[in-house]
Amino acid sequence: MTMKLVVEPDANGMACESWVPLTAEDRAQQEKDAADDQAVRAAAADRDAMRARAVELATRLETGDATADELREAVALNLRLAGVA
Amino acid sequence: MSGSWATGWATGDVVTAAEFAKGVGCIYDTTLGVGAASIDVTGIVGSYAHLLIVAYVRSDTAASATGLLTRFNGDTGANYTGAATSTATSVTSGSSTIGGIPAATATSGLFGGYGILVPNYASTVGDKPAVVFGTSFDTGSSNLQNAGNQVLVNGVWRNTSAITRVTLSPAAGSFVIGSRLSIYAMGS
Repeated sequence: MTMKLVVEPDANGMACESWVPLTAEDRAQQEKDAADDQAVRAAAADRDAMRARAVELATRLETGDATADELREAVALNLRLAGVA
Repeated sequence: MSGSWATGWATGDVVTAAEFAKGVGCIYDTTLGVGAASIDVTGIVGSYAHLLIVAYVRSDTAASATGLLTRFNGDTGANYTGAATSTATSVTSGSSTIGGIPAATATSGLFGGYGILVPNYASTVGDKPAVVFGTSFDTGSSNLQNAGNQVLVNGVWRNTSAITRVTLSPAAGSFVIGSRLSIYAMGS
C-alpha cells in the first residue's frame, strides 16, 4: 500500500512523524499531477523539436540553400519560439 | 559580556535568546527508510524570518524522470507561478512543479538536489516568492532541464497567508528510500 509521511508537531512542539495511507482524494490528485507533468514534458519536447528545426533552417538560410517555403517556416518557427505567435 | 551576530563573538560571551534566535536551525529533517508518496510537514511556526527547504529525492515511477512538486498550506489550486532560466520565455501559471527528478529508469544512484528559499514566509502582507535552485540528471549526461524540467526557477505562491505547511511530492510515483527532506528556519 502506498503511504505518505505526515509530520505534525506534538504537545511539546516537536516534529512527530506518522505514516498515513493515501486517501481517494490523494490518489485523484496524484493522477492529476502525473497528467499535468506529462503535458509539460510533451510541450517541452515540442519546443526542443522546434528549436532543432530552427537551427537546421538557419544553417540553410546562411548557406543560401533555403527555399521560399523554408524561409516562411523559419519565420513562423521563430515567432512561435519567441511566444509571439 | 553578551556578544551578537552583528559585532561578532568572543570566548565567554553570553548568548541571549534574542541573539540566538537570529541564527539558523533545522526544524525538520528526515531520510526515508521506506518509500513515501509525499512528505507533508505541518505546524511550521511563524516566528522565524525565512525558510530554506532542502530536498534530495528520486521517484520510483517507471520513467527516467518526473516532476517535483512543492505546495504550501495544502493548496493544490492554480495559485503558483514560475519562470525557469532554462526556458527563459516560459512562465508556468498554476503549476507547483519546481523541477525534475530522476525516476526508476534513470541511472542508478542519481538523485535530484534542490534548495527552495522562501523569504518572509510568515508574512501576511504579500504573496510568497520562492527561489529554487537545483540540479538533476537522469543519465549522468542529460540534464533534466532539457526534458521540460525547471532547474532554476523564480516562483511565487499567490497567497498572503503565512506558510505553516510544506508538502513535497513527485508528480508520479513515490519518493524512494534514501530520499531526504530538511527544513531550516533562518533568523527571527
